[in-house]
Amino acid sequence: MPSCVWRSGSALDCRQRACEADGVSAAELICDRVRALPKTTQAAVLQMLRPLAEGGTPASARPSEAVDLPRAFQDLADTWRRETALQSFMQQRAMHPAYQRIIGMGWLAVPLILRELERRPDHWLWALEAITGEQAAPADGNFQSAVAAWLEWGRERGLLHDAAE
Amino acid sequence: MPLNELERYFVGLASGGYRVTSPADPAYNCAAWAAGETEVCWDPAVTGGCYWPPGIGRELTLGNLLAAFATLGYEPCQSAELETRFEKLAVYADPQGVPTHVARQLPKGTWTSKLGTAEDIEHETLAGLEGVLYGKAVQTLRRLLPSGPGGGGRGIQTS
Repeated sequence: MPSCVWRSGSALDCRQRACEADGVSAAELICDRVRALPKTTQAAVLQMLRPLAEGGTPASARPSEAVDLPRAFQDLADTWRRETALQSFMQQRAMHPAYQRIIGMGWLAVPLILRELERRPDHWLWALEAITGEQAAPADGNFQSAVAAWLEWGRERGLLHDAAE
Repeated sequence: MPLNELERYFVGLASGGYRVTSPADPAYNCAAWAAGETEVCWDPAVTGGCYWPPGIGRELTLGNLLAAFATLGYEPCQSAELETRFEKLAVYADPQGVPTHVARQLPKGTWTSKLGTAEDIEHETLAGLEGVLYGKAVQTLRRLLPSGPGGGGRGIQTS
């Protein structure tokens, strides 16, 4: 595995060591993608992964959720959609416990949120903004353009892949 | 959303009379629909896909919601009865006074509502949507419709 060295919260230094080829390429790919993120985003990702570098478990991946995060996410997303579909304002919808738990998953949930946003557009933008600290959608845009902006944001960072890939 | 589920949330809906008038659409909410907008939510939340009139407070309060609709010419009134030359809105709020929903009166006196991200419905009475979810209709607003052909034009610019 490459050694991913935590360095004062703002940069990741990955040096390759002699190890299995598959493991190296996957880890290097992740490192490259983290490097490509904006500084603030990079810091958030590193904050989440710091315990891993220190031999622990990622902060946002409790063992029970790490086992099948996509399934846990989907259950929460379905619950949120079902139980808030008739609520009118985001303040009410975003405070639903399922939505808050998804935000609590942190960066691990971002690819899952983006895929859900692509498949079934809904108001996931609040969660994406809360997790990433980014404002990908134009301030004066409509819902469709806001969704499109976030999907593009995800593709540019390798967090969302076309179904054919 | 299946009709029986709607009627489970809004227990007075079926007895008052209603019909579904559009498919579900997350792009706009009840306040947007009341304002004549279908491409963005009218919502004080500072987040993508939401519009709020400039200069109006971003907390979800009755006062801010009334101020937002005042930018379209609506002002508080006493009655929800149909009045010629006026278009009316009804604002619902929970027991704490937090807004939960807005309905718009149609020219024949019935009401049209966008239910969250779900469907639009036409309902005969305001009471049809009162209950646990939306609380009660607590404030009625009205604005004078422009006279002449095409009067009552809606349309707002959000971008």
